[in-house]
Amino acid sequence: MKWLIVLLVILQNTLADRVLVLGETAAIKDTHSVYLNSITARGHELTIRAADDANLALFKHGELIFEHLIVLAPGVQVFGGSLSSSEISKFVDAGGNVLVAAGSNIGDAIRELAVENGFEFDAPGTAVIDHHNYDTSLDSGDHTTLVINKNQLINAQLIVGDASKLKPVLFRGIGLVAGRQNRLALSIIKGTTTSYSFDPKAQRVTNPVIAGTRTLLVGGLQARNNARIVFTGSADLFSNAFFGAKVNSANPSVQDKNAQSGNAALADAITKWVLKENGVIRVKKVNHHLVGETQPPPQEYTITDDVVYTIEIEELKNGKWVPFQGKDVQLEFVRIDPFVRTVLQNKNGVLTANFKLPDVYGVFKFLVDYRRVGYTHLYDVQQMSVRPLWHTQYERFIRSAYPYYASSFSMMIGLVLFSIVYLYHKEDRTTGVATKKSEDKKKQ
Amino acid sequence: MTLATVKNSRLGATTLLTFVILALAWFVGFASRLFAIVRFESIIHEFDPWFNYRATHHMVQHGFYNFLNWFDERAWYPLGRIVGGTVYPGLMVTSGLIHWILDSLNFHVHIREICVFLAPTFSGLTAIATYFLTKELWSPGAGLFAACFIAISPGYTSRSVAGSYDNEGIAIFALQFTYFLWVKSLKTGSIMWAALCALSYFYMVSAWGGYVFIINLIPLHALALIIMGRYSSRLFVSYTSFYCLATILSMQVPFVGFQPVRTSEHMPAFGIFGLLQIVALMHYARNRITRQQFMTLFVGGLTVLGGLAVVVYFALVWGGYVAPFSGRFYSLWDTGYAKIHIPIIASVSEHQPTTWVSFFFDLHITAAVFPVGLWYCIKKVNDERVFIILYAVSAVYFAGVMVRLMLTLTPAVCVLAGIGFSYTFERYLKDEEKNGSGAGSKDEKMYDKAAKNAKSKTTTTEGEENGVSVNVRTVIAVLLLIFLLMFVVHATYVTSNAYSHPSVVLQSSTQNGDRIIMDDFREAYHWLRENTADDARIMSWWDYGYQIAGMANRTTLVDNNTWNNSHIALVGKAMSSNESAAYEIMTELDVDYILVIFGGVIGYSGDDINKFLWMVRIAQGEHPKDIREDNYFSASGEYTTGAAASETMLNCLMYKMSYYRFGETRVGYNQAGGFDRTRGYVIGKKDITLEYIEEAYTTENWLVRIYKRKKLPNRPSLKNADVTIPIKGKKSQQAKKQEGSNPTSRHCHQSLIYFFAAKKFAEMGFSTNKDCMPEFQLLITGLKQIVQIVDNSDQQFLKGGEMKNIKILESKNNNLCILVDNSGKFSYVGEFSEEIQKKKEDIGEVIETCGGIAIPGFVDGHSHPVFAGDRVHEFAMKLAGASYMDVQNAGGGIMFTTTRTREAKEEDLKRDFEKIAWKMLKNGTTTLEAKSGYGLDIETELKMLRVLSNISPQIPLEISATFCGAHAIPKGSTEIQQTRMICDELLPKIEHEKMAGNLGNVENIDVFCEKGVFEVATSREILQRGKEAGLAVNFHAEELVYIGGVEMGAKLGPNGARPVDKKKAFLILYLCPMESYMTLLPKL
Repeated sequence: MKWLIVLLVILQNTLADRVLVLGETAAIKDTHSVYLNSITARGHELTIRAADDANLALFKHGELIFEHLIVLAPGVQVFGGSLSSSEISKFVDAGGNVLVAAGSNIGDAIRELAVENGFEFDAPGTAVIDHHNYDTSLDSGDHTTLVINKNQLINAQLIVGDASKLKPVLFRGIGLVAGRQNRLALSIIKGTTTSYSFDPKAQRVTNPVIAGTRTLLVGGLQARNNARIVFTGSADLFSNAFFGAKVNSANPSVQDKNAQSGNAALADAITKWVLKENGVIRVKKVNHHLVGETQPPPQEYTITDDVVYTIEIEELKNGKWVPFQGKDVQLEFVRIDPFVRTVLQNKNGVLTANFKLPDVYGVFKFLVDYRRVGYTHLYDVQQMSVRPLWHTQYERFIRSAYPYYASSFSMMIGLVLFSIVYLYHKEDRTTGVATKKSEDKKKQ
Repeated sequence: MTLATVKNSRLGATTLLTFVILALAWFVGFASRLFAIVRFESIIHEFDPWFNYRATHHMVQHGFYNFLNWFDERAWYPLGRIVGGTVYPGLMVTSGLIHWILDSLNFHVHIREICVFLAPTFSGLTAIATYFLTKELWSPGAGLFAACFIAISPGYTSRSVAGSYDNEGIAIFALQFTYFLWVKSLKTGSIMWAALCALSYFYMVSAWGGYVFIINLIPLHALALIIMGRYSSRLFVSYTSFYCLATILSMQVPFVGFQPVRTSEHMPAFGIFGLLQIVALMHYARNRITRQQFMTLFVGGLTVLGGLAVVVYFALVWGGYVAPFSGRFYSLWDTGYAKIHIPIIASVSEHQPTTWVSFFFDLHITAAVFPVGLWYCIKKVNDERVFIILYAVSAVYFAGVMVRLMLTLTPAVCVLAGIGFSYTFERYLKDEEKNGSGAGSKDEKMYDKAAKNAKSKTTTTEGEENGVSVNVRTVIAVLLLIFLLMFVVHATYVTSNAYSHPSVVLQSSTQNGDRIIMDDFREAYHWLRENTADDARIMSWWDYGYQIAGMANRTTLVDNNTWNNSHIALVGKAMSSNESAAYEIMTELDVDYILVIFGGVIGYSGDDINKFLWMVRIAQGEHPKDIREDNYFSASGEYTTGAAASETMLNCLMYKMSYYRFGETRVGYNQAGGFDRTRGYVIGKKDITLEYIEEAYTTENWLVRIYKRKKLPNRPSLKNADVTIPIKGKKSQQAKKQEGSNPTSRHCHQSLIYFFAAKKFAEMGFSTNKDCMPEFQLLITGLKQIVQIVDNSDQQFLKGGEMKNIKILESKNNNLCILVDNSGKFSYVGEFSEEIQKKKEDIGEVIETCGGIAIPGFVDGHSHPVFAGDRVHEFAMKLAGASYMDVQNAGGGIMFTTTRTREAKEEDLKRDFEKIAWKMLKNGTTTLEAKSGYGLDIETELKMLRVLSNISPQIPLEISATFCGAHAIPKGSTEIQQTRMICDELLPKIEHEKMAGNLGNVENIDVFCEKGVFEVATSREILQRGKEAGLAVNFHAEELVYIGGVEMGAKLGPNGARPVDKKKAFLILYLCPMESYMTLLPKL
């Protein structure tokens, strides 16, 4: 029983992330109660405030007070307390995650925050309009209550949940677009080809800035420090009203008539992703060594060594770190260019690769750079030198040199023999008979 | 020579004296090299010595085998360097040995002290080796002279002061000693001396790459002896023993390896070895066969063998078994070779050709005296003196090619100067023994003279008398003594002032003579050592690689061991690219910090900006597509970072890093901000912003600046310019900040840009190098307005009420751009977008206008730009009320100009016209209708048309030339005559010229249809004839009097300019249905 309590405490601690929720007024507690309760139910600790509350703060003594921030206050012009768009950006840089939901009454504070993060909301008073995909029962006639289809979702289960089971989703709000320079942007839900963003009250539509599939209904990004940010133009998407609504799409191709909306499921999935409950992986341990050993060499490898590289990766699931099961993690052995690139074999979270080092010396890196949409960026570098052979490591006798060995030995033997012969020959000359004969012959 | 005859007591005294002199030479040589230590401190100098020191340190710490196999992962990141296999280990082994000996004798000295004092110590050994060499060549007296010379000669001191821990410090000793042993072995013909010579050569090989000089000079000597008929068995024995042993020994040095049998530089030695065998065989055979047979054998055998040897050599080179001569070898014969083919060698200042000054500076009086010694050697030539002659001649040549090789010349000069002095003194001091010693001269000199005295005594016995009087002898002897004294003074002065700077520490002096020490280098390296991660990678130009490794102990990308040119080129490319391109390279190479040397604050001329052109050149060699040297020059073709600097220059990483924040500084009281002291002008761009790197450290005198590579931004925030939907409120701080950071005064070109006619663009010299022509030739950015007139391609012009609504593109944030492709067509006009940003690589020239306005060029529909003479005086007549025709009739007007134009030379007309054309261009005219009509005769009219056609292609003015021979009727001619001349002679000629491809832009014909000039009938005939000749019809009409010219012209279908009196404006009705344009002139 005792250990169970300890486990529970640990579990509680790991899950109990502090979330600051900002609404325009306290009324949000009622209008979005289902959504907020679902977050609390997952073990997060919610603090709900008005966006212009004078005591708002994200940092205390340089430390984060909250891990996550949810802004459900579209109309806020200026944040209260020490909060501002730059303060929130600082919060992101410090690792905090942010979910922002806006609406047609969007204020400058939210728009600036979007710009700081590479997105732009359309001007206040506009809304995303789609004359083909609106909801027939809920729409007020200007075709701004949209029905989102599965094919508008990003192909990433980690962010939007299981899209195949998702019911049509309702959306009503302002258009969003990703900046041209924003390379990290994720189009979580994009508009249909017939959607555009404009003032619904306008008599005539001329050159909408945001239109077609460039329109984002939900956009997000994972910053380079793995902090997650999601922007959406619709705070209603998370509201009780939409959670419980029945959907009737004007688009005849949508079969489900009067079906329960999928908003709850989608909001849940996206929130889980933003609050880092999903798609979080980490390196537990990295090791590399020669085949047959267990520890890396103290200094360096030698060219053409056979090495084993092992990396243990874990994934956060339901608040617990469990072995990561991905099969597509690659290892690169890099010296400016990759010399070896191989898929790591995953055995229950322990990924290994066996390979022979290239016949090239230099300073190499074992590099795992795993980027998948929805997952945190996994990047691990182990630098190691690969040295050429020692002067004693070369082959001592090589086959092609045998003629040279033979010739040098024959030379030595020859010299000795010659010396002997020469010396004895000299003696022979004075005493021997044979030489005399030859001398005689010469004279003749 | 005649020592044998000297008595025993004499012998003892001479030996003692010799010993003392040599000891003193050693001491003085050693002492004079300590200036650097006295002035500064016991520190390793310059660049290469830092590596040698680091390597020695490594060897002493880890042992010899570890050093031999040392793989240095901190150099040439990420390639690494096998130190053992790429270094001449003699220096390290020598110091290590000394260290070991001292250590085992319980003298514990830090290895750095040994390194610092090694070169001065070896200078003494060099003196002794030189003594022995000279003694073998001439006499012991000459040897003492030579020893004293070499001990203090600046040419040698320059490379061997304390702290200059470089290969040359010990190599010169090895060189001299090897030569001594070679001469000795040649004289004795003994295998033992030859073997010793080979051993000494081995030491030389292990110490310095200059050993190639020995292995070529000795064979050359052998060859010269053979050719001179001085072959002897002594030569055979000494050379063959030396060659075999030396080759095998030299191959034991890992860095040399198989080079002695595989490179062309070593082949002559091998060839001579073969030749000697043949010559020996001949000598052997000569005594044993008949003369006839010998000649056959000699001629036949030698030819066949020689031919065979050459064929085999080339076959081996072709087959790749023997490497051809290296670039360094060629650069010895062609001083321009390195600059073209191996810029990295040419970029080193010590590889530049030597100036005469440095001959005097390094050798002083010995440079003047050594030819005397050479002459004596030639006069009294023997086997070994042939050697010194060859040595001197080749060394003089090489010293002339490269400053650095002054070092090999110095020993030869010292030997020969020693011989020269010695011989002269021998002759002139013969009877002057008692006057010999001057009290004021230095110690060594006294001993020198004493030695000479001893010598001169012996020479008297030879009875070599000549008729020089005693007084002359005295004068000469004293003069020579004074020269010698001056040499000592000079040598000391040069050593102290020129060669004793560590260059790691800089020194300058204030006005009152106080010394200022600038220790910026060590300050920066110390900062790196203390404040950066142990494995931080520092990018710098290769000059500083060894110092960073040695002093900061950090990983470098390139260093002074310039073995990998492409890696250096990569660093050069990073330095010469703009920030974003450099960032990519730096990321690829894992660079953490970048270090630049900047001398602009203190006026240090050896900084990176002055070396920068070499970086560009080396980078261009490997990446010709990305880096082009031309882009770094100003418009007038000079290398500058001042106001005229090119855009590429101002945006490259090197410029930015050198001058970042420099614009804020003022070096002098009256000086403008950003005044560069080294180059003596104010820099071209002061407000430098860095996006991808940040300043990490700048030393006290700004000499070393260190930058840190930033990480990519965590979030992709949008820049102000990228925001497409403006936020109106902009109340918050963030928006304000963004606005503020937007540079307000960028470097701008002229604010008004005229479109050039499309055709002309292609001719404008953009196409000079077609090989690497970019896809687009021009991008004009930062425009506030583009005046288009029309914006759809079907419409060519506006008329009527439409003309109020010309199409204008506007941008509040100056974000418009125009992109012109290679054929000169506008490929894009409008907002600057990311697509264009991506194409930047492919754009030849970018003009940033910072809010400029682009409008179409003006079309001038009527001009007579080719003329001579000035008609200003006619204004007076006109002001007095004279009419156009009055002026004409008074001999002014067209007639005046006609006369002058007829007289003018074609070149002058052309020059004047081009001036006018430039002015027109400057004021916005890009298309010009230009008429002839000041010749009115065949020759001049054609001349004018030629001028119009042959306008220089550099002037991008589009000209449509008009033949206007019927402009007026010249004096002495009538309307009818003139018409006939035009129709029957001039027009056929023009037609003919045009057929031949000349007068390409003559497109129109014009007539002045006016009462009293050309009446309607003649006008019609001329225009009709011109139309037949393929010219477009054009005319002046109704200018003065209404005679119905317009009606006539309209029937011919004109399309050209005609000045019409506005009072007759109704006539326009005639022309309206036709697609023609007209110029209405107000009446003067």
